[in-house]
Amino acid sequence: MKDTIITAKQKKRELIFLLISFVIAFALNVYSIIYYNSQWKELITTLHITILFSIIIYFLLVIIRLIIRGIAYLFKKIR
Amino acid sequence: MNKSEQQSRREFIRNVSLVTGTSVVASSLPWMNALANENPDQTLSPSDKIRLGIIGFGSRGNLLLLHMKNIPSIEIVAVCDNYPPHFDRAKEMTNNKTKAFVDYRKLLEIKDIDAVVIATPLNEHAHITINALQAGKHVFCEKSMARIPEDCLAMVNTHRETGKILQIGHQRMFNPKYIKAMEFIRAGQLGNITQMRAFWHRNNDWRRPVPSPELEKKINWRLYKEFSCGLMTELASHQIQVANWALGEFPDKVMGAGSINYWKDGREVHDNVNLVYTYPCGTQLIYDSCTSNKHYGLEEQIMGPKGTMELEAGKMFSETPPPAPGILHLLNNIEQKVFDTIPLGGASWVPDSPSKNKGEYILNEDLEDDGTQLEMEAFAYSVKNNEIDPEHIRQTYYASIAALLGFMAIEEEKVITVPEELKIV
Repeated sequence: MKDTIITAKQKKRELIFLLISFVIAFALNVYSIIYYNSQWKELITTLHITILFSIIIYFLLVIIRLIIRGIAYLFKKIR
Repeated sequence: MNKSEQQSRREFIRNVSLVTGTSVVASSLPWMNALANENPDQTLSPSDKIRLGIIGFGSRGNLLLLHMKNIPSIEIVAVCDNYPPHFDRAKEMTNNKTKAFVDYRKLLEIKDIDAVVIATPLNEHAHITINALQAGKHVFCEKSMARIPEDCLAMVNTHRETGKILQIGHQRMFNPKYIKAMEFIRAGQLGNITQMRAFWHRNNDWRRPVPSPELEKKINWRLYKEFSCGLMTELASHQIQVANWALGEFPDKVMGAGSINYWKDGREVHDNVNLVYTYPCGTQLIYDSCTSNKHYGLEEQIMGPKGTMELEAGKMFSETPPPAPGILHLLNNIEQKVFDTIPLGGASWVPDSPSKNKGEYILNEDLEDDGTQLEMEAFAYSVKNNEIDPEHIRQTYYASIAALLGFMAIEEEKVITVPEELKIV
């Protein structure tokens, strides 16, 4: 049986995607505070929602990446 | 009372003081500070105690005794009931240590009784109260005051003539949740009160088992017009008092309808009532009560342009609740845009759906007392210090008058205005 190896490079890449997700969620929080004229303290008080939202974004990115990789794999096979 | 009971009682009063805040305690519960600071190790001398007699030992009299047993400054010295099972229970519950009477007049003859608690059927309240006040006793009488308005007035007049305390058992007036709510209302948190609704719904026949037919009216007195006005005097008077208190006025007109539409078992009083009370400021109280459905239970709803209070639930709902955090607002909007139904035509209006605002609690702690313990504490304090609160009697008098006039409005099928001769200052 072949061992599944997650390389350091893969780990680093996933962490970067997670960070990007968090930055997107945080930016959306900043945008919504400005747009709905709510309080800046919400950056802290709604941090749990931001983290949850960033995880959702991360998994959405995972799905998108899997689709792209699947399509790329299919193209490679056709050639 | 043993030491641990004294301790828990003192803690209870201290908790009430803490959760209601000092301003409320100072203005509405003046006796509380004194009680909270009582030394539990201090033994009260006989002269510090008030000597009390209980007249009427039905379910309410029984409950009041249990509360009074927790109050060290009260000494029960006599009991009275003319129904043998209640008479026996009264003796048993006081460990046969008190004098027991069948005729209340004998109890009133005891010189060193300071006060009496009256928990008899409604039609007996007035003459016993008047006799007791005239005999120099302070009186705690259960609500409603009397069966007819003229008797209520006679009770107030005798109280004023004799200078003796007359307290009526409207326990919500001593419930910290209600006191705090009234403080919020006075502070303008609802704006001017523009609408009030109250209801009390039960699903039972209100009957008690009768050992023999000749005792039917004695035991089920609430069901017969000679003794009671049914839902109006037994339930509505509590909630009308709350509405009056919230608005700071007393109703001057009432219209209503009622019937016996379910419990057709020989009772004389209505098993459902529906009334509209109008106050001088133009605000109305819409009241209904029934005994064939308990889905909505009981509630008093006080409404103004800034908010709503539901006093039984102990909650306050702002008309403009604090907005949801921006991020949730954004996510909700996205969700609605993606998943909501897209109208292609039809009505251009949005239905006035009920608010989904969950509200805030008026008091964050549940004190597990509906005010009965505190009202008995207050009575003991008032008797001991000979302090009369004139506002208490006005509140309770007008609650009784409104309940009785509501009953008359239903019976006579007409709008009833409070007669000038029944108004007190």
